[in-house]
Amino acid sequence: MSIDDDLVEEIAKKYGYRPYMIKRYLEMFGKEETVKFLEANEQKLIPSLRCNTLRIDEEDFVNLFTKKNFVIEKISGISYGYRVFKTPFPLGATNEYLLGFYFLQSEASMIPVQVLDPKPGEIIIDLAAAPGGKTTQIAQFMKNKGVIVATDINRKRIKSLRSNLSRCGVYNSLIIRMDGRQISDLGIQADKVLLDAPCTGEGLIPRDPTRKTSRELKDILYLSDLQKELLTAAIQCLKPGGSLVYSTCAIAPEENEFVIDHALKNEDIQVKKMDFNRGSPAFTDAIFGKTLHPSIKEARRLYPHKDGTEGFFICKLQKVS
Amino acid sequence: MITFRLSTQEELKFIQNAIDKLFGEKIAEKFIQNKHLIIGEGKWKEIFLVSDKMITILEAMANKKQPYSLGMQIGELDKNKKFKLSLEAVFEIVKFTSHLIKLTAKGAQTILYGRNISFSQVDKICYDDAKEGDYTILLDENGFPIGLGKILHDLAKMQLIRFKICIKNIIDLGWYLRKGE
Repeated sequence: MSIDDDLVEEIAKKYGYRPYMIKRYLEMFGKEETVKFLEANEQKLIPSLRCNTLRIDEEDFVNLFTKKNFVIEKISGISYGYRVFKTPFPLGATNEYLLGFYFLQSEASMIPVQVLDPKPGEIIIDLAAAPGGKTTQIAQFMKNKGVIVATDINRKRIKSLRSNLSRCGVYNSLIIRMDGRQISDLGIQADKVLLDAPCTGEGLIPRDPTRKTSRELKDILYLSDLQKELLTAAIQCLKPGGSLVYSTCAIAPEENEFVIDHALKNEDIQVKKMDFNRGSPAFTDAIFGKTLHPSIKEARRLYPHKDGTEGFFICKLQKVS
Repeated sequence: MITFRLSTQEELKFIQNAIDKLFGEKIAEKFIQNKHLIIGEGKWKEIFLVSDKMITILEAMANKKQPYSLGMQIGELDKNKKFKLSLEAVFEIVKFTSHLIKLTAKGAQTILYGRNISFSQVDKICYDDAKEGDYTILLDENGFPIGLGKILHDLAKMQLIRFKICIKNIIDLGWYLRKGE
């Protein structure tokens, strides 16, 4: 596809992005949708939180918050999720936060665990788990029964993971500081795996505009390789028939569809339809010169201009044999 | 380097006694139930409460990798073998013990800033035989546990000196903001 360089420069200058990003957006979305996407990235997203029922009953939480003049609204289709419209105090420093009654978590990032659907008593692996938003959500679904093996490689972030799990009353986790690519060495066979993969975070621009210029194409390619390796390792420690959710807050196909396509070609897995109706189907037509497996269309992409969330990608996989 | 292992019977007994001494007879039994104690041994000992299933996973791992943390960290044993209870344990033990003191809203904020409490900030002493030296779980104005305190004086006499410090802050939830993240 031929992209007009002058148009790329003009849009990049107007919105403050690196030109290579604009060029890619134009190829992915076309001009009209690219502008809608960039405009939406300039808007603040509605903050959200997840009520932590390991610490407080959901009805009591709503009553407590209403009494304290918070204005919240239940997010449809996401268990325990609330949008926050008015806060008398900063949400990260209330007594209720310290009591672990809620976790500050974006709407999109609550979806992977909802799709994974952890059950009490299962063994779940959460790779790249820090700072623990999704780990605490998994424990909540499991009612603290079963085991979550939560790994992260970063020394600083794993401290924050431990603190968050403690604050939220998560008592069924086994935290291990390690490179997730070596997870199969542990000899654990999991019922389910969550891989919320390290990514460029290109979808987070509405929250962090520095990401308009802080990443280069080589970062996308580097992370794409890492994501493929992590997904391969994650599949290896999954029981036959077990399910895996892969997600990122990136919008580059190299970090999402290409990673799934690579796994479909090399591992005994299949894409599963998600019981979740939001977002747009993932790319399957030729994109950046690559034709992808048609089943990838069951994966979902979320965008700020269409879904009111940060950019996000979610795919559910099942181990076949 | 911290290594993890199951507690010995002697260690289990010691920790049970320490908890019962803090909060009353049979509290440790109700708290620990049929779970296992794991000891993380480094410069000091950390004590974790874990389920049968966690033990199965640890056995499957066969020491290929040491955990960073696991289950519920219930406390630490320092070099002098003094048992220090964790915030996580406070949250669970509150369900079983009568050693509770409810604070005023101002008292709750004082505790969460890591400070000690004067009698004027005590709303209600929830048990009859509270005495100097007792460890007690501190509740906020809504009745939620926010820390652990030690009674420093005879509380009956404190009515007259309401602004003198009477409860020492041992641990409080403000830790999560000050040091946790």
